Amino acid sequence: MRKRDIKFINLCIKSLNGELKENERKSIDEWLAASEENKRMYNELKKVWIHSEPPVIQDIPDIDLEWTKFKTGLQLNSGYNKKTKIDFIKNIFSSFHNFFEKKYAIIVYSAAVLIIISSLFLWDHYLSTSSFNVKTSKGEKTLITLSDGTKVHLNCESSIKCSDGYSRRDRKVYLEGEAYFEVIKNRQNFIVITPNASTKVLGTKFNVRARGEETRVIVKTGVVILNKNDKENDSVKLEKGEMGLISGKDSPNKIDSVDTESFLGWMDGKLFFRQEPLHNIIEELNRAYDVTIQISDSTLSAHTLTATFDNLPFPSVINSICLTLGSEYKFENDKYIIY
Amino acid sequence: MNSNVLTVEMQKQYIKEMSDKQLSEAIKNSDSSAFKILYFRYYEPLYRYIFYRTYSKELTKDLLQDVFTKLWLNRKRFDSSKSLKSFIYSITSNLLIDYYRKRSSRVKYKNEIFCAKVITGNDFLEDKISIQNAVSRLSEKIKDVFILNRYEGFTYKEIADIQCISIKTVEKRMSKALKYLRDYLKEKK
Repeated sequence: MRKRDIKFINLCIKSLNGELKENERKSIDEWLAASEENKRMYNELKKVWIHSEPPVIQDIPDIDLEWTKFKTGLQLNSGYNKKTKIDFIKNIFSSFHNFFEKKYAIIVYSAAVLIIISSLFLWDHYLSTSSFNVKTSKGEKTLITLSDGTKVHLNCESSIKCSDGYSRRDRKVYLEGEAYFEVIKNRQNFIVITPNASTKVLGTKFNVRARGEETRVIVKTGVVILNKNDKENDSVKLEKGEMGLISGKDSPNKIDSVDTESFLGWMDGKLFFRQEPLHNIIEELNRAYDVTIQISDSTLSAHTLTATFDNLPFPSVINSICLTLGSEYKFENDKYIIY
Repeated sequence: MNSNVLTVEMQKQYIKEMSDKQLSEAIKNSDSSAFKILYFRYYEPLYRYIFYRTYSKELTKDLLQDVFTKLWLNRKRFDSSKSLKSFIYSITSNLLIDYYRKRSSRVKYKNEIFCAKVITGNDFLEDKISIQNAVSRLSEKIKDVFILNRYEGFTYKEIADIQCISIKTVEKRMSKALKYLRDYLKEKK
């Protein structure tokens, strides 16, 4: 194709697209005036253009269905895949099984069971006589089972330790941050010590949160005694659905009938905020999502927000918050900046 | 002091209303819910685009899932300072190029849905079908540029970005397309 043709056809397309500039209009007019042949070509191109509308497409597939197929085909949630671990153990057992004849298998299994049982005893002994220290970082939660069967769900950026031998004399643990306890009842008291308080129970389920200057205890079942650390008998007795609070050096406070689920939602990846100042929310988000958020407009940090985030990915969280506050955010040098 | 309430409904609405730029940023950070919005936002336009290139429903569906898989796997390459739309179409365009490269020339016109000559007594409709027929016969590179401009409404600059070619090349391919269509229509008469 000649260069001149390309130029002309292009001008025609522009003209048909309605994108012709003033000087271009002039040159196309000159071109058209030059010969009948050119005029005919223009009209033919125009016809082609008009007739070349996109064909109508019928029955676009069901997007919901396609999305479901897509999601199952691709592991969108990059979470830890529990199944593989179980399969792995199963495979070991089945290969054992295949390796030995059935009569030998019984001996092998009994030996394995004996080893497992004895190691459990040893582990129990180890736990009951030694200390432990478990820490979680930002964005990380863990579940610990203690030697007496007590379960501890440790929230992000928290630590729990026992330095003087758990369950030898009493069951005393030291907590920084937040944890939910499911204590197995026995004769010994279970005591959670936080910087300004100690929480004493026998067997019950409760949540302790020690952040900043404050210790907050929520009781799910049973009875809990919340005591100030530096003053004997300055305590409150808390029952199911109640919250105890010790702020700094103040005496313990009791708040009746709180919505316990909203305080325990962190174990299921939920975040609850009730008229919470933005700076507290940001602190909590930094911890839960392992991100760094900064507020460049200091007037914003006093704003409060009521919201529940149910396992929402972080970008959606910050986007929603900014829209609610009428502010914007940007992502720079691994930091989210609200401005 | 300002007190604000952010309900779950508001959250859902806000996610839907996220701009391409915000989506791009969120997906880059592996936000699967943002990816879902991208999926629903671009499924239909991309379906049309690929269908015009392949004229096969099943093939379009398959290629489209490949496109989204590729997008998710390449999410770290999302650049919110550039157009998300162009990035998506560029991934799609490349996938189509790969597809046609692998496909043997023997089956080149297998998917052509339009028969050679249609007589309906309606000139306008006949011309329209002829043109559609002609479009499906364009070489893949030229067809791609033509579909992006005429069907999808991309500017030459955008097409140049999508295909990593110069605007001059886009112009050349568009003229070739139009000339071919004109000649095709003339021959039919």
